[in-house]
Amino acid sequence: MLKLKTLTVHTMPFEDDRFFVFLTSDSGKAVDYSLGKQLFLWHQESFFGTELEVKEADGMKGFMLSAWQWISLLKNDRFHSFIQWHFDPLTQYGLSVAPVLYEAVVNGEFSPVFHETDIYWEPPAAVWEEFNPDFWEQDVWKGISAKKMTIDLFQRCVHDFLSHSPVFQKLHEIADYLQNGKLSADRSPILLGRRPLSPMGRFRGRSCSVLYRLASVRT
Amino acid sequence: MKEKLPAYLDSLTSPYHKRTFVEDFLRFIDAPWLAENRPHLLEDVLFQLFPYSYSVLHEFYIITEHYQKWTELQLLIGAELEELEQMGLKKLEKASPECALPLYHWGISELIERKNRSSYQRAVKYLKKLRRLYKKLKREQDWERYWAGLQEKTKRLRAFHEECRKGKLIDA
Repeated sequence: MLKLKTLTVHTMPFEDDRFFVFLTSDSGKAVDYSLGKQLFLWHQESFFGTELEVKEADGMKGFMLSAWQWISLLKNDRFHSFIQWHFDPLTQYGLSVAPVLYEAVVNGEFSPVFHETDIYWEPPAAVWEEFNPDFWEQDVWKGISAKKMTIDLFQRCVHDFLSHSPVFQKLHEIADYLQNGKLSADRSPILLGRRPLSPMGRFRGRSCSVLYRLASVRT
Repeated sequence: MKEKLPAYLDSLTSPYHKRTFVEDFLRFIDAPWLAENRPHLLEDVLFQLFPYSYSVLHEFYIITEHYQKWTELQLLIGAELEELEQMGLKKLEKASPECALPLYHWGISELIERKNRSSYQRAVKYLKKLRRLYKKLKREQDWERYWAGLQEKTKRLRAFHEECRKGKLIDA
């Protein structure tokens, strides 16, 4: 099938743990950011791109994606079929790891490892078995190896994914209750679908991460 | 021959001449016969003549039931929802409702961005259609997530929220 346009997809990690995605033409020039909607045409997780924040960085206008949105975008390599797509090296890395990371998160294949007040989500062995050691050692972004990037990405994906889960939202409500000592009138602990909270009263004031640990959240 | 079409099209000075050439050319090559017997060749030719072949390409995808490509074409050209309603959106919703979702989402988003009363009213009309579509697909949770996000994003647009109340999208 002939193509009507050629576009290159670029990804830049951002300080706030999100990814900045922008497009250039085949000659490397910036293209109108509105062409971005063609990239997200089949991306249900961002409601086809309409939910994404538009930002300008390094003179380029593009879209801000959470780690989970980035992975879910790249997982199935299904983009606008009239356009010839090219990808920069970081996006190519994303295309490689996205299917296995997406599957692991959606299927709940992650286990919590606790470090004092922090929680670490261990990626399943299937992730590391997907590629040979050379792949994981390659530099994908300014001295960061694919392995390190994947571990970090996995943490953020699990967190983003859980934050949309109803169980996680209920835990937030419980944490608010424990921290502030009260819920709104229509939100008693029983209505939250949990056991009455008094046995957990001793955890009042603790951070959410403690609660996540206690509940061993799985979707 | 088809490879020479874009260069020839470029050599024509006005959009009127380009359109006339494409219409005459498609009549000459008997597009309906090609659609039935050599669909891939016709698709290639129509791509070479794009965007002047847009109306034939859109009909071609509807007739051959290539709904994903129809959606891609409409989003690329930036067709508005009112226009799409005249062009086969209903057929698409019936045959492949998930392909209609991106068109509704982008159409609604652009109407809200125009920030005037009549575009808000049109946005509400399409939001109600979109809600029905999600219901048909049994994806009410996705609708709820989208709707909650949209309300948050537009919380400063009082006129839009007023139209949503009038349209019974939110409680009065």
